[in-house]
Amino acid sequence: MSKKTGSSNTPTLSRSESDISSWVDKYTQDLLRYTKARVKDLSVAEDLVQITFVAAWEGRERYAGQSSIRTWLFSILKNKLADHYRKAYRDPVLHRTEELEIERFADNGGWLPEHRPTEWSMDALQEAELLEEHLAHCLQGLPPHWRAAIEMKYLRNVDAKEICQELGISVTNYWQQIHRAKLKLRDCITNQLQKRNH
Amino acid sequence: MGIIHTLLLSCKKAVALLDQGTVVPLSPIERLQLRVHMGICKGCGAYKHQSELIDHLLENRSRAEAFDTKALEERINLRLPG
Repeated sequence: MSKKTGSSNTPTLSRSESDISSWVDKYTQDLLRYTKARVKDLSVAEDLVQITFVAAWEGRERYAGQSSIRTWLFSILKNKLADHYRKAYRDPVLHRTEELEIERFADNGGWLPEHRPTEWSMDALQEAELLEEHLAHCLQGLPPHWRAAIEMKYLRNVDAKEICQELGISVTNYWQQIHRAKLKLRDCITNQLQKRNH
Repeated sequence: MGIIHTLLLSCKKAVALLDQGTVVPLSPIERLQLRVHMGICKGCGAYKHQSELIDHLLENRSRAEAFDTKALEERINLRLPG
């Protein structure tokens, strides 16, 4: 099947059926990598990629060719991811996993000595890949609804108010969860870096 | 005394404000409080750097690993007409 590869600023979409399977061939790997970096389970990531292609197929009439196919697929995927986080956030079962929070501060609000942050070593900063690995590991350890809250922040290029409406929580509640998640991620990455130095 | 107490934040409040500021805009007084605190507190300074680095990593992450997508592609193609 011939695929039109006209001038790049006006991508044309032939609606032949073979086109969508060429997209599957071309973009599954990229979409899956992006998704797996953002959800816990590979099977969930795979399902999200699958429903993205199905939605793309069903909505192919709406693809107007003003963006690249890749960009279009990613915008569908991000919507599916947002749905996923909303659902995860609201899941009462997941919500019940209470996080036992450690106390990092003394009564006067100062850092307890063993929790006072110190700069990570310069070596760590130069090893971006290693940090990413630690981050990926530490994200897995977050309570699911904190993870959903923090993922929404980086996924949705919208006002915090809009995210809060989607999650059905107050802005204060939202930033407090982001903050708690950040404290925990920072602790966890610090521990990972220390473990490696011993 | 009043003004000193207005300006001095605890570390607990300072790091909360730092992360709050990445979600919603802070008030001018909060920004001033934060600036004063950050000017004198090393621990919170380290927290700030690390929190910003985590932000950067979260925004830009993509797994370098390659996945075997053959089975998935087949599964997807089965769901699509053709």
